[in-house]
Amino acid sequence: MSLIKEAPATAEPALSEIAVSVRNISKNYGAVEALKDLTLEFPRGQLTSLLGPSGCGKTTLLKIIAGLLEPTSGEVEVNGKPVTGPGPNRAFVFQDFALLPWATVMRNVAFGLELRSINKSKREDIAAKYIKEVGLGGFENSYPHELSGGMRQRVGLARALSVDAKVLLMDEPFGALDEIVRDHLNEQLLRLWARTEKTIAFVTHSIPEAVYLSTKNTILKQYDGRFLELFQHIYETEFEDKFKAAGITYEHRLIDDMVACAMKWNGGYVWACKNYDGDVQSDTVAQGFGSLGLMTSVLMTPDGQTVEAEAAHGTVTRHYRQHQKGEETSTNSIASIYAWTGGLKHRGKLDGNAELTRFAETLEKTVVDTVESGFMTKDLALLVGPDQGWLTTMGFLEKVDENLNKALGAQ
Amino acid sequence: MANRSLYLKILSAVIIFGAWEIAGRIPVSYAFPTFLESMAALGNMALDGRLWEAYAETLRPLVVGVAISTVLGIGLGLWIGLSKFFDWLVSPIFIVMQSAPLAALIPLLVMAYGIGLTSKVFVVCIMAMPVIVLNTASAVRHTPESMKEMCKSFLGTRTDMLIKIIIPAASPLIFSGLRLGVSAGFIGAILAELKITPTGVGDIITFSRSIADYPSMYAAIFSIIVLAVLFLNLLERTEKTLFKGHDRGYVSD
Repeated sequence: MSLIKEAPATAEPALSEIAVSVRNISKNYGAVEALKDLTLEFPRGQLTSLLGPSGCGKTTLLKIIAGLLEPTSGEVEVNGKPVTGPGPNRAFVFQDFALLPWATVMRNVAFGLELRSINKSKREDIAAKYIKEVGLGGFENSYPHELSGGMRQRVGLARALSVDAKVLLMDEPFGALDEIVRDHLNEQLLRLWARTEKTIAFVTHSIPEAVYLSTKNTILKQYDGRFLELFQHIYETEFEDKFKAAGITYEHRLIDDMVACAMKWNGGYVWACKNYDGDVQSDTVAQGFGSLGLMTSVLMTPDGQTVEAEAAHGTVTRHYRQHQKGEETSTNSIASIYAWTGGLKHRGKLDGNAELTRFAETLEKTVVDTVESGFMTKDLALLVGPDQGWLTTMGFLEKVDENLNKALGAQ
Repeated sequence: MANRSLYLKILSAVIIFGAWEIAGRIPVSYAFPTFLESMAALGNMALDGRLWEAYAETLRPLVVGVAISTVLGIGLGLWIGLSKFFDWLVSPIFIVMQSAPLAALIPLLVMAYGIGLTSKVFVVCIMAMPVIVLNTASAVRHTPESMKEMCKSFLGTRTDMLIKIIIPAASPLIFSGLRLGVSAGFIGAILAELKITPTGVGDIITFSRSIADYPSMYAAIFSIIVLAVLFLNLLERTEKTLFKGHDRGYVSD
């Protein structure tokens, strides 16, 4: 029915509801017992999080399922067949990305197919599709060292998706990334996964990450997947012939990807959004500044009452809810500030308003100086190290305000 | 910035050659010619063709020896890096070779292989090969584990692993081993000409000394140093362009 659907399940009629079953697995490293008599099942088509502290054997289990490690005793079955080594029905996403530093994004993504001896033009077609799906369209010829951590893991994800394995094994894939990037990637992963029948085993040591994934996945699976099917059906029954005759192609894309494309393409497309929400604006800011914007949409009545207020992006919703409850948050507001100053500078240019331009530039400089002098939000502080102190959102904004007044006063 | 570093290079050359010139004029020793005298001798030798003949002679064992060391050294290094047994069997030989005083071995080589090209090639190989072998082996052993796991999990064969992961990952280190090997090869080539039979540049050095033509002797020494430095610089540049992507290493942040 659609491009992304897996081969019909009827090809293997005996497929049970359990994709991966782990029975009585033990694994010893010398005298150290990493896993002891573990029995576990992964339901087909579900995302299952393996949660536990570092060093509890989650990664070992995942590698045993992948066939990279031999268990000391016990057995693993994938789709009813015992695992004896790596196989085409499983793909692995590595914590440290495991990209080839000497190969482009294209070759890295196509590497799994290259090892399967798929010919070059075919594997690059497939890889190009997944590079777009993970939102890296335009970076095909970049090298890993030119990409940010988040982008590198998208390459790792695209590589795992492109071999079209039924089971995706993800070993703390976003563990090395900061919180906002991680949330964003988790959401993207869920949307990608919602359109497929893949079974995912997801190792994490972060409780919020596990909870987030398991609550959101049910909603997305129903919602995004359902819409994809409906639109495809309508397209095929009503429009396909006319589209083809006019030489127009139809594609259902993730919104993040579409935002990236819209910013790179020179027109030539009609964009129909099933719901135009703050995600679009927030992703636009993210494309420009590498971080999500802290925007909220507020629906108000004429007398000023708020009907509904939503954080612009699902990722920052958690922070926004805390803020609504009156709790302090420490959310990075720099992308939003830059989005604003960017707008002001453009306005200043259009009107020839030098004072406005100067204000915007001073504000941008103040933000950078503030962070560099050691005042920052938690996400940045985590990147600096454990000893770096951090401010709350309001604390940070107040500090910026204070420095801005100083800077403006000095001019 | 490039200009500044060029100026610095020229400045340091001027200081060193200036010091040489002054030391020659004092003179610190009767056997120490000035810089200008040495350069004049170099010009003479270049003009009457003696220099080029000498280099044709000297470069032969050097090129053959370095070529053999490269092919054999990288091959052996890969094998040592891949197999624990082979490592146990072979790498002690190269460790001994690296630490043994070569000059002491030369009489043995001459007895076994005579005073011809073979012995000289051997000397170059003994100098150049150990560092190439040992560097290659350690580069292979240090291939990032997760890249190997990645290759395995995406169904790579052992050959895939070697050709698509291990060799490319090891190549910057292999190349720097090669660079060290070539510079050791230069030492070997000159040592062979001084210790086995005086031919080529070694002959100019020995002969000029015997007739007290010190400017020519210094000119020959100077020219071989310049050649070695230029060649190594060229290799370094090749290395930089070949492995640009490696500059940032295996960052995984």
